Amino acid sequence: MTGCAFEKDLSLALHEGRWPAACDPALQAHVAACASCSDLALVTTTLQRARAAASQAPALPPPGVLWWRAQVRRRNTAAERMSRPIVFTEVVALAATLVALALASYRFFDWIDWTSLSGRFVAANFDITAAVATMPTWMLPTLAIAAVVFFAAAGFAVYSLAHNE
Amino acid sequence: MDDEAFAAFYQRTARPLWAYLARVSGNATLADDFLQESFVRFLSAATRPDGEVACRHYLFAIATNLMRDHWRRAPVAAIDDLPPAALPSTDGPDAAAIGDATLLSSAFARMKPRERQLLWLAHAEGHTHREIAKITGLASPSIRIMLFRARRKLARLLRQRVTREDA
Repeated sequence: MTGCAFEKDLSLALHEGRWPAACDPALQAHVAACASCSDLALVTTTLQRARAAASQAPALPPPGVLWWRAQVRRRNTAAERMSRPIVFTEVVALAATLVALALASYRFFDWIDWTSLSGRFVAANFDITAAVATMPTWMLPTLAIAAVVFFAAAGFAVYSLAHNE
Repeated sequence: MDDEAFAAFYQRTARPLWAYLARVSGNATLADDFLQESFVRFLSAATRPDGEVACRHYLFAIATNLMRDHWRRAPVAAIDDLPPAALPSTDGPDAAAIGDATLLSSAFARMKPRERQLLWLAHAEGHTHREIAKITGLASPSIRIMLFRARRKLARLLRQRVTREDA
């Protein structure tokens, strides 16, 4: 099913360019009679001619361009590999910040007397300045610090997400 | 490999590689793209085999994988399942760009990419079955049978065309 005993000799002759002129007449006679070997001779000579023709056809890019592209790709790959731990650290830091903020907010909300705070606004007829004037001295800086921490953390989170994308 | 060694290697291998890509894909433009990508991947590889012959096989293997990936992205999963009509033809306008418009173009158009690949590597490039196995990732024993069938099919198609043209 997979060829005959002369296949090796014929194959060698074909690849060395000896077929058919420089070949033994006995081999030529065999190829004329053997279906498998005549297939081999026909296919190999056709493909060798096609290779010779196709190899002259294209205008190829200069090797320098490919060399440069490969260098750029290697550099990018190396940079990406190096920045991977940094990105990981950023994500962990962001997650830790958010958890800390959530815990602090929970504590802070528990600690503030919201009834008292809203009662002050109602008593001052929703006048913020008057309500603030009645607050204990510690409450306003605490609220201000909480707002600053919240907006800073939110800003950092947005920046980190945008930067990673 | 420094840039001078690469330039010399490129001069020796680029045209045969392009011919392989163009004949198997049946598309000169695709062959241009695959050629460039093959060399860039070859140069970007962390490790490359030693020696000219091994590098050449490695390069052909990269090109073969690129073609396989390209066909896999098509709606049909395996390239061997694709009907020849669904594949880029070597009988179209690209035939001139590939280098000839002979009987081979129309015969190749009726063959599967895998058959074209095996035939080209074995008979145009002169690779052994073991080398073809390395390049294509197929098992060496199955290559012998697949190649025998592909060769018989191509010979039949070539003879049919000749007979038809003579008639």
